[in-house]
Amino acid sequence: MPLLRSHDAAAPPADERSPETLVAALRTAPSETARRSAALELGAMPDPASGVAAMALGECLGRETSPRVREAIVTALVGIGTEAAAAALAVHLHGEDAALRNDAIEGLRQIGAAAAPHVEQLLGSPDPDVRIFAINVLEAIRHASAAVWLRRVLAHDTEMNVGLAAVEAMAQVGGPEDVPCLRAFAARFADEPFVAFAVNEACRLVGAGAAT
Amino acid sequence: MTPETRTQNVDFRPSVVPPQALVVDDATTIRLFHRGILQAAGFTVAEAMNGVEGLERALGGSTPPDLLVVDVNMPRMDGYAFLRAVRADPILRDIPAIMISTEGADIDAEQAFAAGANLYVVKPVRPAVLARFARALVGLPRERAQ
Amino acid sequence: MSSVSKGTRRASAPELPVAAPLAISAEEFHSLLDFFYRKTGIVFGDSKRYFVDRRLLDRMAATGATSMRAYLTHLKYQDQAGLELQQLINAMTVNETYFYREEYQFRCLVADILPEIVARRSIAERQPIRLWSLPCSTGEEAYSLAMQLLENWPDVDRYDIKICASDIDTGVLRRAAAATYDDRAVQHLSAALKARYFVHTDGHWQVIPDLRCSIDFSPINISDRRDMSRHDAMFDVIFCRNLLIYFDDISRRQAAEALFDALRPGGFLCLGHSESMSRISSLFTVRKFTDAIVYQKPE
Repeated sequence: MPLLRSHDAAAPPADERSPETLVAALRTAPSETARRSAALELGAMPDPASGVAAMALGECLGRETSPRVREAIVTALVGIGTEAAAAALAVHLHGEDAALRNDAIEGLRQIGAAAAPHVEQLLGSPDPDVRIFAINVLEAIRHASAAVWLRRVLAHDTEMNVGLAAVEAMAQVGGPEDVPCLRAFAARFADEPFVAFAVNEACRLVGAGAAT
Repeated sequence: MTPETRTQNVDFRPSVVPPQALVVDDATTIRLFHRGILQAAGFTVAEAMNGVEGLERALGGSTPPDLLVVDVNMPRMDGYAFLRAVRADPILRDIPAIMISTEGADIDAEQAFAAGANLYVVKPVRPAVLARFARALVGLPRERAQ
Repeated sequence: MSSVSKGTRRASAPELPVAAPLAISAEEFHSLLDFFYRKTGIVFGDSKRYFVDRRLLDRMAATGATSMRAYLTHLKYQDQAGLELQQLINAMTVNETYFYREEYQFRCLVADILPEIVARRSIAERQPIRLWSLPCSTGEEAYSLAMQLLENWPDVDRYDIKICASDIDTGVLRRAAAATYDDRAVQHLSAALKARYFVHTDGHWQVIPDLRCSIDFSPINISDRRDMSRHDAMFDVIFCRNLLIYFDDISRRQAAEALFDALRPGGFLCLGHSESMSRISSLFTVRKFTDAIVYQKPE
């Protein structure tokens, strides 16, 4: 019978590399596989090495050209999950590389509560796109102040697309008490069919039905 | 409430299978909005939340979609990467695609077209615009003015 | 799992809040489905309304929620560790294991996946073709793979093939090695297959010794980097069906990395039919074959 019995391959030695060695590998190893491995190992570092790891991972994220190594770096940062790791991701929301930005947003969403301070800061950015990205993150974080911050955006942000991102986020995190704020936003952009649609849908999802 | 369109004089015979649009966008309200517009314009509509799911839906059905309506900013696989993958796939490569983006984001027309879009539209879309483009790309007759 | 029967009343017991039929409004149903879809990528159509309703009522009873709104509130805003979401996922996805479960993937394996793998192998390649069933649970999947290769792969005698089967639960591994099953597990097998690969005694079906011995069973924790790294670039095909759906976002991401690393370049990954990498990772290329959509590690 061609199906073989097993003989376990000898186990390779456990990865005992120091943080410094791993950072060097992440920065300079020629193969994608080696850089991925270094990133994932850095993501498993116990404290206090995780702080060093987070910084190095964040720095390499901006320079890394391989999407698979970037994925590993973000996975590592999400695994570390600290505010420092969130900071390392948040900085990339200002960049020009759309794929990198989207990876960073996804990572921040998965880090969750530790990303909240950075989100609050980014909500104040003069760049409307950055404010949208911050809202995209906020939507996934179950943070006590999420609805408060979103209400502020809905009431005051001058950019319609920023407000629309807030409407979408509110539909996920809001409650019936947020309906007046949503309606007030719709009134600010009364001649945009999508705004009316989105607000109605958000009101429906937060539980107040479609009554106007 | 459905978005208003001017499509009530649509000219297609009921025995013809309606074209299918695949809407790829991570925002629920946008998917719903586009769904309403496209259904009123004569399409059946499938949805996906990101580019990976978009590929799975496009490949997983009994027939591939007739039209792709694709957002730029999505997690997991963004609109550009999705369209590049579509254009590289033997089954999907010729499906017309409308890319949708916020004005002033770093997308410009060249980037959308380089990735493989046929048209791009700024969001939020005007229903009549999306309906008109969608029908034109799949070869449906123009709507008659009411 | 406690369940609520609509329309039955217990005459003598005090009325519990959940004994009365609970209405789930269209809005609430829509909101829950959207939340579930965002988290898992799983869509429930209208035809599944009854299925979903029953399970929602079960979860409401289990959590003590007195209304759908209360349950939704708990699920969306209070379930910090995702425990209730996990319970809901467990309830909504069907878990039973049996031989030739999700058969279309076995067809795909011999019709498309293996031919591609062998076409890519160099003449000088000495490594066997390795398949991994992970988690293997009580072994049905691994034995099904073996049977499928022997029965339906024309090239089965031309290549050395190794089937590995792993699980975190050493109890099920022992049962898998013992390979003794009841009628329900073998119900989808033809009489010919049962005759060829099983011994039927005392109402049980035991896999024949030759087949039992051909599977390499071992414990594994997919979330343990050290554990998984022993298998770097070893496998041509991994069946990881209905495992990732039970993980949280971070663990799923890490597991996807580990599965990627365990595959040889160009290797294939099969997930459960309602699972998708779209909520997990963009490492893999989506590949469409006649019978299935599978994921591939780039070469």
